[in-house]
Amino acid sequence: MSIFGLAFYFTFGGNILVQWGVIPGTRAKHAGSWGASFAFIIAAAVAAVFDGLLFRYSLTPMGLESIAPITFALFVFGAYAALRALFAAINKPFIDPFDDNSFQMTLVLYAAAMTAGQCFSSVWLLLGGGAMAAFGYLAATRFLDAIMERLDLEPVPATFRGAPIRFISAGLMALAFSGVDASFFSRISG
Amino acid sequence: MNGSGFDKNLAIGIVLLVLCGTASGLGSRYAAAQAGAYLAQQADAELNAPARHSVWNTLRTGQIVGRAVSARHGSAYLIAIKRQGGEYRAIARSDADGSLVSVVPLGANAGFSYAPRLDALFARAAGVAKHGDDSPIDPALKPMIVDALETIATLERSRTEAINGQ
Amino acid sequence: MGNENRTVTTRAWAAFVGLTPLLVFSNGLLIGLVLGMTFLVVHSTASAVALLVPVSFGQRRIFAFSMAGAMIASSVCATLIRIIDPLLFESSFTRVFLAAYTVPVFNAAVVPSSMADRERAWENMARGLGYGSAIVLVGLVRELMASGGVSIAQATNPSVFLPVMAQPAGAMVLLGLAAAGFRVATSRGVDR
Repeated sequence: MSIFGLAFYFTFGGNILVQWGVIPGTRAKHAGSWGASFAFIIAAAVAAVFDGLLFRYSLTPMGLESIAPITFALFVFGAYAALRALFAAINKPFIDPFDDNSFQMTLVLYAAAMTAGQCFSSVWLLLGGGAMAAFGYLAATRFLDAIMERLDLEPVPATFRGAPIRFISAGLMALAFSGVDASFFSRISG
Repeated sequence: MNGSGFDKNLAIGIVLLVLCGTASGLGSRYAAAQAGAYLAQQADAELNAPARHSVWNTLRTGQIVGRAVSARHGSAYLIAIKRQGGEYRAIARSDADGSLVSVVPLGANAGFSYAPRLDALFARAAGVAKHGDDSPIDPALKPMIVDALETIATLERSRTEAINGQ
Repeated sequence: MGNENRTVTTRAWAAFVGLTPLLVFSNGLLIGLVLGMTFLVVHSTASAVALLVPVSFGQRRIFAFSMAGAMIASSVCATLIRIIDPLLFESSFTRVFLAAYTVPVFNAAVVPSSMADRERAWENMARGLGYGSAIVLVGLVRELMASGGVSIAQATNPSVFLPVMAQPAGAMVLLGLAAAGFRVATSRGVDR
């Protein structure tokens, strides 16, 4: 699969916001910087390679598939410790990420890693798949935020304002993406 | 924490976690062995051939979950086609060069609307059903069938080449 | 009092949104039971470990221990599912693994900061039971709407009624309507 095919698949039919239901809870927290988005894409690519290779070539041959969440947790804790050490080395304060946004990002990271790991087994495709899954999620999140901004100007009934209309908008977006998937990208991914 | 920096409670906690993780790993190995034996028996039962005495290999390649290999009766592959809304399962027998011999559908989730057409398309691929029974959604489903059959062919050829090369 | 209620409601909704992956994947009674029970075990483990570990460990270590306990619990649940039904494991293991990474489990693993909160920690258990029940209920309703019936076995010729309800799109629309209905019910309760 070409890089463009990867990008199209993970942006539409294979989008993890749609397939996995990892809907961001609020809007304001996701108006993040380009740097944070880029760092998240890199982290997803690395996580996909780690999780995909470990699951396929270490855990499965030994019958240890069930401990996959433990190994990914070790990866996340290791990355956290490495980040803390890095911030300490450059003498910058490290803010402990104990909030719902960082928890949600960990969930998205694991969903991206598992999505890519299920589809591919080579290092480059895992790297590309993880990165594209994260890119597709961020793009879908921006798209959903844009829809919500437009809906703020519409006379939405009070009962549906906020979370209900966000869920319904995500559902309609999912319907559109699944139509694209059925029409075009089932030929790519099978 | 005492003055020397060594926290006994922390050490006990870490040891307990390691023990629980190890126990979890051992349980996982046991479950994998049991699952392999069960899936091989199920594949043989669905093919109405208990004398196959198959051995299970978990593959998880594309839409192929694994294969039940019999010394004298060839391989049977478990296909799981997952789409949004459910999963469709079938067992496909192949010969040594990876060609499809027969397909036995195992069913699908309730509410999975593609199941009847997948049954028809697999039957057509196995040469059982006649052509002419077309549906507008067939162009969307055929790539999945083709992908599954190509994966089976590749896996079976690799397996027989590995055996012949030994 | 009103602001406190709104903060509680906002956090509850943030946790509910964090549960959405399990709700979206729960498109049948069987898978709903599997995910609901897995979530209950994982959430309870995280809550219990957060309370049992000595407070002297500090917030970060307690969180790490609780999450490690939750991961081990999800691993054990996956093992049990694989022993009981290997085919069910093959179709659901990715979501079972994801149960420990949901926002409600993370929130349960964060140690309560005050003694008053620690004394109310039993509410975490009730919360986990509620969320697990919601996962089962969503699976039941979606299977009813998608196929017109409920079954825990795969059918060779599955019945189909409203197949979009078995898909993620249908799940999200259903959750949106449920959220609106919940808002109407709670606002009527407040008005009384």
